[in-house]
Amino acid sequence: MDSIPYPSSQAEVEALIRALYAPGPPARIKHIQEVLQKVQKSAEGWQLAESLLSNPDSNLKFFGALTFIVKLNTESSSLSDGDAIQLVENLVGWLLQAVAEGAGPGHFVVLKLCSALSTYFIHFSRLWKHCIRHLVQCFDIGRYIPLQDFDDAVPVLMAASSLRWDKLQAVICFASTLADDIERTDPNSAKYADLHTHALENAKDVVELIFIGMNDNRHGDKTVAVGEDAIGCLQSWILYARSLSDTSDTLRVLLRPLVDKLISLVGSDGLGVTSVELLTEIIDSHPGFLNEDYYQKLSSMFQTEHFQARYRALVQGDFDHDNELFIWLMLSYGGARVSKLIESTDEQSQLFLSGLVGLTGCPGYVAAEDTVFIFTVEFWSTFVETMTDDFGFSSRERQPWFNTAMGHVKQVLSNCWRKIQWPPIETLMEWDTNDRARFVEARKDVADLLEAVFAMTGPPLVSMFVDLLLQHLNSASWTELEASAFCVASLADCISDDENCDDMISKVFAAPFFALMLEGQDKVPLRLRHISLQLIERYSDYFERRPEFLASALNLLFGGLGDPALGGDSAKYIAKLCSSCRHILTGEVPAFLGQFDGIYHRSPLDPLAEEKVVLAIASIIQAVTNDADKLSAFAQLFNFARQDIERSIQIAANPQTLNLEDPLHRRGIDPAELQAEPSPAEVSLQLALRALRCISGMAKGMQSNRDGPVDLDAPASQWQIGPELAALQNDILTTLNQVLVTFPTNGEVVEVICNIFRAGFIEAEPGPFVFPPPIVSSFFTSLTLNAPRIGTVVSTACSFLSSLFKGPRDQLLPTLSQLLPWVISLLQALPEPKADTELTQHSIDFVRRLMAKAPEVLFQLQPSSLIEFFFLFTLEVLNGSEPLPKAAAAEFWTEFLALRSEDPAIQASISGAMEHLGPLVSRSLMRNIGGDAMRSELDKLSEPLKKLVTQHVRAQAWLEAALLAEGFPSDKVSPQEKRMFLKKILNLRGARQTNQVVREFWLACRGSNFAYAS
Amino acid sequence: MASGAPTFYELYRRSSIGMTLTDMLDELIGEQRMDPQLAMKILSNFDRAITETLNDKVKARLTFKGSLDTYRFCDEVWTFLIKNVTFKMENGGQTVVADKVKIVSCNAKRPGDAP
Repeated sequence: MDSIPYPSSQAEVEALIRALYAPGPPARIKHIQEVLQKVQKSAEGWQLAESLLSNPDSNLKFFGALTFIVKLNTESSSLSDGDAIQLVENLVGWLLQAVAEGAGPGHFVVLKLCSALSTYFIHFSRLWKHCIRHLVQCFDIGRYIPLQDFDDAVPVLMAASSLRWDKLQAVICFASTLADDIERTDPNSAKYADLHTHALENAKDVVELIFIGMNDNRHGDKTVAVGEDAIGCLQSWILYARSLSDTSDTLRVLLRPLVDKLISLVGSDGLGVTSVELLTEIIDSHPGFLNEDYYQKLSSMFQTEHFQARYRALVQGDFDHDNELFIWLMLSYGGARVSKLIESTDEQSQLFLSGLVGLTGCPGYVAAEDTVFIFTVEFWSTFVETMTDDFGFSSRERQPWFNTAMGHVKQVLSNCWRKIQWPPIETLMEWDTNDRARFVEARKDVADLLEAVFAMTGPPLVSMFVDLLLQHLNSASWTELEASAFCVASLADCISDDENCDDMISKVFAAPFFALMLEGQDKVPLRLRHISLQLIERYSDYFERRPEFLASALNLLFGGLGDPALGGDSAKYIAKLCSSCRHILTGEVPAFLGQFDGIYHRSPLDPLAEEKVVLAIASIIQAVTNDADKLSAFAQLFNFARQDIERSIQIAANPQTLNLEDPLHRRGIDPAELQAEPSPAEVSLQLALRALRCISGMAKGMQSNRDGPVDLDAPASQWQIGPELAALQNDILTTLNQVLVTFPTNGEVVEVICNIFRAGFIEAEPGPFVFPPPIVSSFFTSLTLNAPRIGTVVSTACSFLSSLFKGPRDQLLPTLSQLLPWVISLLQALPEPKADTELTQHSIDFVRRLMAKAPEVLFQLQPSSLIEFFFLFTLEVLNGSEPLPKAAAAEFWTEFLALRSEDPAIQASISGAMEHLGPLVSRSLMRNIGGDAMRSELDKLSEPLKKLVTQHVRAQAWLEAALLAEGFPSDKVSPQEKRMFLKKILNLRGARQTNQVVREFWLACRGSNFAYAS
Repeated sequence: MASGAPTFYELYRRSSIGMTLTDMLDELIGEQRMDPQLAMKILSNFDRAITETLNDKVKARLTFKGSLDTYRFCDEVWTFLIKNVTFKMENGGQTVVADKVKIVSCNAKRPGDAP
């Protein structure tokens, strides 16, 4: 693109401005803008602005006003008082002229000129102290009045009351802009102290101006527009008042009387809605602005006929936006006055609360039709929580207001129960996704409200919904039954631990509830079946105490497995219920295995659901006390997965054997792609993954129940296992290896196998997945850098390492000596640390964990070049920019710098290593803290620094050399500042304030541009 | 500079997303592609947006149980230290356990905003 030369004449400037506002390529517009900005900043900018404002073209006028704003903000100090007075004369003159020429108050030239005058006031308020009064008089007589001739005794109320609508609006526009601009300056800064004083001196004039604007009926069809501008101006000045300190009440005192007028306008046709909007904003954003007197006036206003008419329209289903605005005001008022409303028993407060109760019962479905329900429920939640929090339990019920308040709450609950009922399916299908999501959110809000109410009422609340459930169960009223079940389920957390409530819950499960739900989708709607499953899940603790209903509950859950809409949740709930009730169900293991056999051979379940079902069965098997029975049952369960894997390997080896008519082969088809024709390779892989996930479910299910007692004095496990268990473990390992060999490049296979191993690491007792450490170790070390997701494998090795330290130490050391060289050799094989950041991070983490617990393994590692490589590797990572590996490296050095050993040989190795590494790690830390690190890394990097200064006598020399070394990343700090930083760090001796000193030094090194964030 | 009303807490700047945003702004300033004033404005927008979004849009919920070890209320900030905590996600989701949890909660309405 051709460059745009700097304009040499006024005409060229004007041409550029016209081009700026004409359509054109963005790059050219940007270029023009840059050239014009240079012109604005030049010495000729003042004259240019003047000549542009004298031009009839609106765009040129606009740019002229903009130029004045730029010049005032950058060069106001260069103007003499005489020049400044001349400037205000010109600006006011151009504003009068623009309005006189018919540029309406909303015209962009008028708006920009008001903005220019406001900027002028910010810089020269001492010269134009009574700006509002002066401007009103200028408009009144139609010309600029020299400041020395202006009569500041004439009140605005008098001069402004005769102004024509357009002139009045122009002055109001200026007053609004003034408040907006001044509000952006710091009232506590000495620089702006005079500005705020002068602004407040104009406040009385502003109040009179707004009053006239809100009160003036002389302007025919423009009356409403003038009034709206006046209300907008009031909003700007209230915002400004809010930005002033709480002690400065002058402005608030002046503005408050206008609220009387605002309240009186609520009933007017033209300005009612605007007034309501501002009142709502004041209460929401600045509730302290109104005092008790005004809240009383608002309370009375809610009972006026005009307001009541709006209210009645809405509660009869007219959710017109204007009606909604009136309701928002009610809700805002209610939120601000909730404590007072709870305690008030007077008629006006009761009428108001009854009104808010009524808002929960408007006709129409929540969200799709009724737009106020969600907000009203939020109010009632606040109401109930305030009742609970602000008034102590012992005194609450003795208060005279308690029964009245509870009466309202009960009515709200009754309304909510009706409103959360699902619509007929044909209505639901008409809703968009947003409406459906908001309906579900509304139900959750009601659930929260119920929990809040429970805190006051206790179990009778549950009893009420149980009775409703039974009543509608008998009458088969599905929607009411579903809503009642939802409410009972919502209260589960409140009572599920309470045995005293069991009888009440038994009424639900003892009733023909299960039998009805089992009748299936032909008779019972999906929503109801879904909530019945949720009800079982929420009350799983109850079934532990009352096992007589457990079988029916599980039958219902298993019945839901085959349903595409309920299958996932059913499986999840089966897993939860079987896990928590495992000790009760051990006698049913054969039945469960039989049930799964049926599932396995029928149409395949979703893989995730199947994993959960397998987990459920495994958790019951885990609770079997007889080891032989347990192993036998587990072997049967494992056999299902092994068959899948054998089938998978067979199809991989002989693709022609694939038979998609065979339901056992169809288990290898992704349920989402049942209609597609997958290749044998895909089926083979999916079959293997399904089986691996099932084995992963088994491994999780076989974990012991953590609720049991832990014998702290028991000897550590010796990993001695019987021959049956050993054979079973061998079977599992062989199967896993077969999958790994068949699918050597599949990352998901590796990841699921890692999860299977992980499940055994946390177990204290022998089990099918608690493999002997040498076997696990051999599995890991058989994998190389070429294995997929090798980072995940090393991460699993980290978990393994943690579990190892719980075992006997003599078995530990050989395993660690096998794993450590493997991990370092993986790093050696990397072309650079950032080639695989996950591997780098987890490998450093692995060595750190090992070093902390068994330093001798690290320092006796052979060949010693491995450990040298590792130290230099972590320093390279610390100097790098990858956040996660860098954090791991910082943690490693924190651990290493604090490392001490009672073994003299090891301690000598550590000290010897520090002699070489101390200067290097010091340099790396100082480079980072000197500006190379990202801000978020500073806390992590402070930790090794703290250890360095507290643990090593030569730290000062190393750090000083590092700070003064060539190549230090910043030239913004002097050697003295560096020494001062070092002195502070050393004096703090690793205290927490080190982090702050580090942060400050980093900022000093980076420069003031980075001080924008605290 | 006084910020426009209402003001928002800056506490989410220490969250992962807040720190990442700040790192990114640092990078843009370092490359002279952004002024610090704009970065400041972006951070104050972030304060507002994350507060409002967490309040309005996040409807996921969980329940937790544990032993309340310590609690205090100082300068309008509640602090709870809870031990042996079990978090339960909604709809039968996974359970998460933690040895120790610290909850710091600030008044949603900042001091001075109350009527």
